[in-house]
Amino acid sequence: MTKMIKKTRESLSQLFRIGRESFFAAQKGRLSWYLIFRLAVKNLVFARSRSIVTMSAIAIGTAAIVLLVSFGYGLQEIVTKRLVQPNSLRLADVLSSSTALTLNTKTLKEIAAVSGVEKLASAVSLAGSLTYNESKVDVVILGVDNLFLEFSHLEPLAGAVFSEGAEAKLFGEVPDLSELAELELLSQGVVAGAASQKPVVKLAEEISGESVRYRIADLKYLPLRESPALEAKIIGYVRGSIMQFYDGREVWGSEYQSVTTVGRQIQARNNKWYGRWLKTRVPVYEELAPTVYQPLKNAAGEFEWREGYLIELELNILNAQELAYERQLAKILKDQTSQQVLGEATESGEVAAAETLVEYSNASAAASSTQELRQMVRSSQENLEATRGAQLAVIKVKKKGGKELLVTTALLNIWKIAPEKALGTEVDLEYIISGGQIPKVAGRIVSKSQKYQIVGVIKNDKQPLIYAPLADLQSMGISRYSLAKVLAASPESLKRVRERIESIGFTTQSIVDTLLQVERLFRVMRFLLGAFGMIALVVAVFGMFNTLTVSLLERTREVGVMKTLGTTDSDVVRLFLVESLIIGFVGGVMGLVFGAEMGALINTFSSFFRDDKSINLFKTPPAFMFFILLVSVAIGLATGLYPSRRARKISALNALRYE
Amino acid sequence: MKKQHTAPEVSINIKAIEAKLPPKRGRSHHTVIKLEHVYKFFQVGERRLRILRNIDLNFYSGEFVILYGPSGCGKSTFLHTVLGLEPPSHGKIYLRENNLYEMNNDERTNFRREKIGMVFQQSNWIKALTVWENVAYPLYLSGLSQDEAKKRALKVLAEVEMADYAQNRPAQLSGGQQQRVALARAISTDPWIIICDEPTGNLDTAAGAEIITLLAKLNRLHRRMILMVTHDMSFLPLATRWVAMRDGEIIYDEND
Repeated sequence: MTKMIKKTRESLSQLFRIGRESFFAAQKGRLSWYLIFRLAVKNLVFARSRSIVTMSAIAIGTAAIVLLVSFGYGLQEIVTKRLVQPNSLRLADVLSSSTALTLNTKTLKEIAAVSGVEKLASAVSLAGSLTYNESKVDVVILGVDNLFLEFSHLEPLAGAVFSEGAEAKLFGEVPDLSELAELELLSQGVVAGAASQKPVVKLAEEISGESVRYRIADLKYLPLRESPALEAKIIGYVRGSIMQFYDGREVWGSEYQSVTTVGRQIQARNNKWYGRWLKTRVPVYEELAPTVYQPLKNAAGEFEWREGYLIELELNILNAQELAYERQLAKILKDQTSQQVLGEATESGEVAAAETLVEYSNASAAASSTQELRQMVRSSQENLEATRGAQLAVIKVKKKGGKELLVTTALLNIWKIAPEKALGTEVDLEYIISGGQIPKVAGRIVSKSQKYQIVGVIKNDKQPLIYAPLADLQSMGISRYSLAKVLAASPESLKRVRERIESIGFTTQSIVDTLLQVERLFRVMRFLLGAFGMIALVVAVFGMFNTLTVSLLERTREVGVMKTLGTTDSDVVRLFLVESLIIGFVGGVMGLVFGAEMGALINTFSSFFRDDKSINLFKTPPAFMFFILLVSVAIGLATGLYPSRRARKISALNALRYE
Repeated sequence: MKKQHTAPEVSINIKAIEAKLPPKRGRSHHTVIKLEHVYKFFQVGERRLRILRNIDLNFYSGEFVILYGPSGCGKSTFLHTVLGLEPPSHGKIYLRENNLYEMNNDERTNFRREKIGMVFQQSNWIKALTVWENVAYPLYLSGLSQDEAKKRALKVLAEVEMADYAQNRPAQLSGGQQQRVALARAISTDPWIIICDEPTGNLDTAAGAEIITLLAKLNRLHRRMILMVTHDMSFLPLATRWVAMRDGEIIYDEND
């Protein structure tokens, strides 16, 4: 062992000696690098004013680049700081990407067991209705625990998070409650396997015999089919408008697959599944190319109306209350005589409608987790609509105690209650559970109305949401989750954790993805800023090039002497290259120091006017400094190339000619 | 510019110089420079100028040769050819046994550095270096360490009585002093030959006489071969051999 160390040390010192010798010791007929370097420095010192001016020009150009690019880095850091909250680099959202693989008790255990996962929090989204002061509101409920709130960076504006009682699990560790849930159904719903209850259904048979009114989301085009079957011919497209209502009749048609079709399907006695379709007459559009539509006109130039069948997807069938509102609105519009007033009213009506139907899709949020929330909310809302007017089974929340809720400010705004005053308010809550959330149970289920107390208010002016204790939902037997969040042991291990979870079959999302986008954006921005600074540097480089060339011409005779004295051409080339390298490098270092110090100075100065002292407008990362030094060396090399090549061609005879 | 020696009071007292010098010594039989049928032509437009015509010469070790002739007779071209800077159109040039123009450029450069010392009418310097550094420069190229080079440079500077100016820059010295330093640089590598091209051309008479005295001393004490080109006939007695050129031809060649 010691022998080896000795040997290594010997060979190392030998290597060092060789290196030193080749640097210092002259080889016969050649100048050592050390002498070349010394000679170059002496030459530069001899023409010191010119050297200083040239170096300063390079320094100013470099400083411009450093300052501008540092600004880019600084901005990026500011943006990143806004996005990144504690632990967010360790967090990832886990979503189910297919109906085949859902987030349930079993798969969550699997995810929690993935190596590198430190903590796991899950949430359930579902619809519900809230009664306060005898006014009933349909809401989206998120069943969460405190850990999930923490991971989502949701802190109550007023009040507190859930108490221990609310968090307490009915059965300790989350069990699979599906068996239990089935037993607790108070009235039999559509339970898979209960064949006796299945109705007799015929294709294209009307369901209720009553006309319904519906509306299609704005700018959406839905295919109108010849018959209520997916394989049927498409005879045109209906254009959606928030102000446009159509009438139709619900019929049974072929089954269609979608995660959100819950409640729209029925299994008939012949064991076949049917879905709800709408038989309707509408003005139609034709599809010219994907997403490009054009109205179909008849010979008279009017809209052509056709009768066909629509899937009850992405359309909104109005319930009795909405219908009444709709009729009233129509009456108001009818009363207006002036065309102009009508226009305005239509507009305001549109706005009002847009406000009534909360446009979740427009809710912007910085964090990607909010995007997930949005998805959860949307699907819950569809469940809500699906539940309307349907036959319901009733279930009971088994867990007693800890009946606490957190609500968003947007929800309180509906009743115009201040956050502080809302605390302690008692409300009645009904959960609307869609099939599948409780395993083996299909159809629509509502919970018995339950009294809850508002304990916290969360700032969110866009989405009226309720956060209910996850334990309550679990006690009803819900074991299918909408979203899970995992906390990796470290930011570095997050990538591997995500890969492993994705290999199970789930989709993951993380703020890291957004940060990568930000990084990409800022890379372009830095490049542009750098290009601006480059202008100054290019000017300096041309100046340097000129200086070196003139200096070469002045020293023609000197080069001649060196050559008559026996300096080889390659030594002359080396000398000129080393001189320009020194100019470039020293200029680069000066520029770097100057640019970075200037940025630091502006940082210090501007921090007097800012509250957040931790934010810096200019930031110069070491890797970038290193890059700048490399660039300055490259500039030295590139500008020195031409003069040194000319120096090679100078003849020794130049020294012997008389002036 | 050539200095005119018309005034009687500046004429050189050769006897006084000779008195300070050791006696002349005979030449050896070792050939140092050998020119065989050397021709040199320059093509200027349509015209072909014949600069050197059929030059056959042997220079021996220990000689002090003065090559003289009118302007444009081809003296400088002759020197450049011997230095290895101007290849002849015909003929061969040997330095001892080495055919100068059979070497490649770098070999010739190295050869010139080690075997030939040069002094020119106008001193040429690496301006950024001090006097001793300029003298040491060819020594660095010969592979001497810095200490050795400095030691040697100071020694040769002492030989030409310029040791006191070692730390100055060449531009701070007078013309005569600069030529002394140039001479020191020429002998620093202990060359076979010292070639001088009008070394007194830019100097006043006194300074010129000093340089010539130094050269003669080097020749007689150390038997160095010196080949000097000059216009000035007043130094002829100090040489051991006189070669005259006219229109590219040797018209006169005599030993002492």
